[in-house]
Amino acid sequence: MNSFFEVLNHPVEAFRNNNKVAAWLLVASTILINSVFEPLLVWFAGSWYTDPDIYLMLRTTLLGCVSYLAICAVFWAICKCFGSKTPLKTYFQTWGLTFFPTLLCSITVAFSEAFFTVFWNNSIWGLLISIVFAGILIWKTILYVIFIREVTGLKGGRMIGAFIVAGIMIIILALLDGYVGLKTPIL
Amino acid sequence: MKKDKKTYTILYNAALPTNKQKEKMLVHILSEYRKYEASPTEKLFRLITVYPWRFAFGLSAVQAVLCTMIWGTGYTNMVLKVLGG
Repeated sequence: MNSFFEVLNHPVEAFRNNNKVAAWLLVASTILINSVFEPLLVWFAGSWYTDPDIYLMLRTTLLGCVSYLAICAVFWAICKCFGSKTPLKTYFQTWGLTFFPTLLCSITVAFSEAFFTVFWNNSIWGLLISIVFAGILIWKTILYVIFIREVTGLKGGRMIGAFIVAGIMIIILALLDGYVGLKTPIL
Repeated sequence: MKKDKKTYTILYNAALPTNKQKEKMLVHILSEYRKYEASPTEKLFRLITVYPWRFAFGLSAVQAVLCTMIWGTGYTNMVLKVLGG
């Protein structure tokens, strides 16, 4: 439990301690909320008149895993081009430590989808969900900066270069995730 | 017995640092402190990276309130449409 609080409150120390169990648990929870919890919630809320599809759940789970592996590989390749000596294994073990906001995002997306009419054209509920979504984006960006600084071992201009190129790749992969049906990108 | 006590006091006083040594220690501590004193950028980085959710949701609340005051539900609907799945 302490390691989860460390990931939540002191990410710099969490990256240095490299707690891979916490990282993978966060990634697995995010994928399962995206692929299993969200369709079930939508079904129970009765927003759509379609039964949950097991095949679709399995497909989304698999695509979530592929997405996580892909972003780690992309980070490794980009940072290697900029001169980083960090092995690919470290990216798999540490990028998951940035998944607290992603996990929160997948829960928020599930609720916003299931209870869409509550939030649409309602200034109070709309304001609250805007605070959550924008906060998640800022939080993830902060963790991304800490990740680049702590894990890649790059400094100065090289670090900024890797940050920009990997940022562009994140946007491309996020669009690709949306295209294949991952409502919250597993990135 | 009295003699013993005096001997111990002499030994105790001899083990204490002199004023010159104390001053040297103080200078050393101050110079070490200056070495670890954070620059304003480091202080800002620390403020953001310790409890990052606090900074993120604080900033987000300010922008959401301002944008909702300016554009009303048009803004909240746009956020919901873009990020709401």
